[in-house]
Amino acid sequence: MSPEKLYVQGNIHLLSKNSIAIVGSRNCTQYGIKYAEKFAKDLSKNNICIISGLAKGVDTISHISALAERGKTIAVIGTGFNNIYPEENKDLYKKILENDGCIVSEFEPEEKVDISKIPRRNRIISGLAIGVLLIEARYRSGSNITARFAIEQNKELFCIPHNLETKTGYGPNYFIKMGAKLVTQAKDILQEFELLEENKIAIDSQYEEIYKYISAVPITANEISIKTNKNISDINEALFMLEMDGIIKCIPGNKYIISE
Amino acid sequence: MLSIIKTMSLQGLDGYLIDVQVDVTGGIPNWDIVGLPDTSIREAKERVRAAIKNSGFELQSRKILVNLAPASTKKEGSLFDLPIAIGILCSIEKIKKENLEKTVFIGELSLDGRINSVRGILPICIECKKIGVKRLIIPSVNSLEASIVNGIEIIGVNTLKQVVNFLNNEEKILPSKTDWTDVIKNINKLSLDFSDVRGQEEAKRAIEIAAAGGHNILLIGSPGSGKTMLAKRISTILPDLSFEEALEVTKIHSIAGTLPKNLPIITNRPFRAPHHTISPISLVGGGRIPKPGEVSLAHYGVLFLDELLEFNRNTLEVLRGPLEDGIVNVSRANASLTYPCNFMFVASMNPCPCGYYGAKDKECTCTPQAITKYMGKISGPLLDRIDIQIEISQVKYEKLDNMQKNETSQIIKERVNKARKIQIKRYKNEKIYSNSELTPKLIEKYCKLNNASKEILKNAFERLGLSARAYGRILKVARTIADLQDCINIEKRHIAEAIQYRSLDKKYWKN
Repeated sequence: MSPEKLYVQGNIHLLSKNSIAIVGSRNCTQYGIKYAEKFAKDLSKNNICIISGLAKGVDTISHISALAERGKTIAVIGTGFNNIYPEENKDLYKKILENDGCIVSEFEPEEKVDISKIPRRNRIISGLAIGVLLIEARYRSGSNITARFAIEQNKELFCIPHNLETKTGYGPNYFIKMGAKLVTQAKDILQEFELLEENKIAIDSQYEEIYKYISAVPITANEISIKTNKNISDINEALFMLEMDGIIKCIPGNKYIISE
Repeated sequence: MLSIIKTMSLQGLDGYLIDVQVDVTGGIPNWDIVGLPDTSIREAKERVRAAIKNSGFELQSRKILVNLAPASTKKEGSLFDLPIAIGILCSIEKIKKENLEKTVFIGELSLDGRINSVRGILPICIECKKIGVKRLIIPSVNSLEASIVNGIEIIGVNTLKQVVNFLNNEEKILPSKTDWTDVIKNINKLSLDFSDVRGQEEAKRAIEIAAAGGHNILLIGSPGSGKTMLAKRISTILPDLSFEEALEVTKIHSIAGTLPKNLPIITNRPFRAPHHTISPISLVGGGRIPKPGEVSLAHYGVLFLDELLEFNRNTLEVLRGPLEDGIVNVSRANASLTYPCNFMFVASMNPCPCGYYGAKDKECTCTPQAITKYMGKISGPLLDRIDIQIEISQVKYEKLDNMQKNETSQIIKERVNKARKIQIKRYKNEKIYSNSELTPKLIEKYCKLNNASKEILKNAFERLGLSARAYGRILKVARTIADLQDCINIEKRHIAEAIQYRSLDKKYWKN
């Protein structure tokens, strides 16, 4: 059932990048929104491309969050390029293209919206990704289909845990039971592929020497000064710049630690 | 027979001339002093009578009338004893009148005829010189202090008898003289030095910046972290007092009677650390007989309030005006006086009620609410006048042991002096002397930022949640940091460092 051909708009090189698909309900909960956003942002920060289906709900959140972090994102759509569905995501479609993202479809550009054909794109979503993250899915949800495709295609399937009493948690909880990996943070996904590199975040070379001394153990500017024999004014400048970049954090007592 | 003797009294920081008119005539023996004298002057009668008698002169039963002119202002103090005694002796012709020309007498008598010291000699001396007095006869204990003023003959005397002999040309007394340059050379060096403080590099740097720009500073730290030790050394890195400044400081201390005995003039910047039980009046000055308060005694020096939050709230709030204006107006029934109080404000406090919030090896037992309430005790307007706030953490003993570079106060002072010179030159047309005095309008003029700096400041406000009132403070401190490095423009790194000294703006205080 592999597609005969793929239409690609935008940056075609993204297709060969490491990508994670984030899928979930169109009709999502606050819980789903929160974690779709968190995972999409954290993965983007680590240079992972986010794939989703340009649908409402979790899909939209994932695309927007990736763009917000200046990350890359691929939208696989179930219609032709000239008939974006749903209508209100037309702006998002343009925004993805403007930000060096890419749109993929197996349909002719002029193909009309046919709701029954849309779920077919799910196999492409899982196919392009190295792993699929399932945020939310009710008992009979399209997202479950994507998850099943992922298993068939031998891709990694990740799920966030849910309260057993929520309906939207049915899909993820079910797949966890079947052996999908339970994840609580983006790091868990990265570790699976050994994509997690220390110091992934770009650090200005002039601050690198000071950054080396900051760890999970709190340290003060004084102690850094004693260890490095550097001027306190340089250290304070570096600490401030690192804090501004979100790399380190200031805690009570004016001490510094690595931010998570 | 009538005789008129000149003396001087004090109103606020300035002396004013008083005529002591003494009339001794025959009639029913009686002694009266008029001209709004206070109790200490009324009591002069008994002291003067005994002193004259015990100096070997005979005071027959006569009618004596003393008038202190101008008669409409209230007078106080014991420094009128000597002029009254001289007036009487003059009237009974024990002293030749020709030697009284352009001479001012000041001194308190004791019963045996000795002359005791008085307060406020220096301002009197300065005023005397201004109005053209030629000779000043004062207690010899005070002559060192007075002799710093040039161009006036200072005669220090010990006894009434000696004064009479001197005026009758029977004894010679050499005028006292002190050379300012000699005094400077022989300043007794302060025993405190910044090299005593080890390992607190960040705090030292913050204090250096504060000294260089005249910024007020707040030190926050756990018990034993070294706040007081640091604060005590601040005056050692402030620039040396100029002669005019020294004179002004000495004037205030002369009036308050806090002048050291062996020094004619105060050459070190004052360091005042009042206890936290101080009343508002003793802090700003006042009282029935107005006296300068701690803020004025700290003029051109450092006012250090240890354990800031232990001070009464009312006491702290009275500081707002003096901090802003550099002067205190004290209005009382007797007089309305103005004392200068241009000081550097240094305060210290604990980070929370238990004292260990953020400390390394001790657990803080305070609830977040307790900490918020504790921090809320400092009023916004007061906090608004403190440009630099830093947290100080304890330095471990083993770290103290092998410590690198330890700069002495002298080296830091040189850098501070340099930065101050740059500021004085820059603000020569603005009537201000340091960066801390910049008004919002002047900030706009002198603290221009390039785009990179603007960007970083904007980001900082968003990410660190800085308060709007921090904006001007950061720019002022950044200006000082730039001056310390001799940079004409404020650069990104200066802004970055300046923001680090806004500890109370850090997110973790806002629970």
